[in-house]
Amino acid sequence: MSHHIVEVKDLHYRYADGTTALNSVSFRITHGESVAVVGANGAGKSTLLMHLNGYLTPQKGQIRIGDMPLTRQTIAHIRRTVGMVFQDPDDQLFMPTVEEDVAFGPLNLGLPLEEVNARVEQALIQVGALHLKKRLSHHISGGEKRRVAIASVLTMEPDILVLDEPGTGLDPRGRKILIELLASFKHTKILATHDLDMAMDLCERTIVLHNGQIVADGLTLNIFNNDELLQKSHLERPLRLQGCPVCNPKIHL
Amino acid sequence: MQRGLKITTLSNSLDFRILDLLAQKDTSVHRTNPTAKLLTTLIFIVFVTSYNRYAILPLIPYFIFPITILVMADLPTRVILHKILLAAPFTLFVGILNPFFDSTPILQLGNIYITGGVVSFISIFLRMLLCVTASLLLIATTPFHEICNSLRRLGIPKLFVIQLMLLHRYIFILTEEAAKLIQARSLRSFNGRGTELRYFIPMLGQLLLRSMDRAQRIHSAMLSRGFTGEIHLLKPCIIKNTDILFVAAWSAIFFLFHTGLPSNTIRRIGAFFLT
Repeated sequence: MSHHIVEVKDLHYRYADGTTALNSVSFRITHGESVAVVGANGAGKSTLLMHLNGYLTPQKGQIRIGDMPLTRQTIAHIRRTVGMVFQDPDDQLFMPTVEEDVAFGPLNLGLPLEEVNARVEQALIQVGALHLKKRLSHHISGGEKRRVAIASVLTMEPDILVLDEPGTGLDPRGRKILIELLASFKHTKILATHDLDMAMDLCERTIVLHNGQIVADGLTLNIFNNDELLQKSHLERPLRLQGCPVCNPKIHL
Repeated sequence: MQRGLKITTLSNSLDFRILDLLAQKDTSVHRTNPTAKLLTTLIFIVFVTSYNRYAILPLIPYFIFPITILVMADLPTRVILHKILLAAPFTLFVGILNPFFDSTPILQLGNIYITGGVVSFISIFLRMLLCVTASLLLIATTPFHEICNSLRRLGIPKLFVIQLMLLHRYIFILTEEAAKLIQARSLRSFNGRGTELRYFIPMLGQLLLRSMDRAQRIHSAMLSRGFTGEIHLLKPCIIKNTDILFVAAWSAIFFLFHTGLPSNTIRRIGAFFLT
């Protein structure tokens, strides 16, 4: 249980058209930590996440998940350890029914049917979506899709959860329920998001990316109070750290 | 305004969600084993297409099958007819030239000679009607993923079955994206400008690029959950006696139609009405 470590060392990635997406990125996330990865559009967040479960392989540098370096040989094990929740749940829910989709991962792991069914049930209960079990994936709402997408990753029983913009497309209530749900997980969590308030709720640590480089890595509250840093990396203070627009309207002018 | 209307009718007729909803009903037809229904439909299609090209009257009895299913499965006739109409243009194109190429008169009704081309055209149309209706009824009485699972069980290569399954999953998203593109265009085109063909081509390209991006994301989602090219089935296939009876009884009925015994009778009845 003490090996849920994500270690990235001097990671470089350059796209085929020559744009550098990641430039010497290094960090170490230890067991049970919850880390937000924030940054402007095109800062390299998605590229970084795609490396974490081996969809992209490092062009230079190294990634270690737990005790294992990420290589062609370890990729199957790493994909089992790192649960990836995609930005668009429609990309993730590719099986016809909710039940089949949530069962997809464990069936690929070769688990016996009873175990698969038990895990499906358990994961759906965990995200509060058991009533959707028999529904068709393309007939459920955006918030429901998001919860099912998370359940489909939970059934693999990953040690590390990687979430790309989990709040996209959710209404305010749905967003709040999602935050509570994610807060209840004991996994090591890595969260890429523009929703800095969500980052503040869920992550004690934040990594700021700008032009493919880490410009800050530290306590979330310290980073979100550093106006100079935020401005340099095209970010804004979380709304809760900005003044009250009713008591003091001038602050926002 | 009128353009807006056109878009909604387009997306309505392309909306196959209604078939998914119908497939979730609970009737004796819906409860029949999916593989049994699939087999029966395939047998039906083989029988219907096995006649020579001038066959019209022998095809008539086969309407019993779709009509029985339609009634027993308690399906809304209008919706089904509407979906059949969508397939009609394709067959019309297949057979439309027959009357011009084959002008040998083969049938005489009073003073009117009917050419082989017209007869074979009508025959093609009837076959289309029968096969399309039977397939649609299969989809409207069986969840699509069950049909895919049955295809897999019948030994269809998994590559095709996965293609079919993903096609059904994403066709809705594709039509939605296409509808958004059309909507975005119509909001910025005035007096019909901007709707010419030369703008249509880059739009199509745009749709292709979006689909390719999405395909890549779906693929990575599949890989990250351990996909190795195999789709595992969650449910075992349970075959009841009634399922075997379903296939056997319908096959027997089709065979009876085909042996020609009833078709002679029907020809006589047909001749009675036509002369």
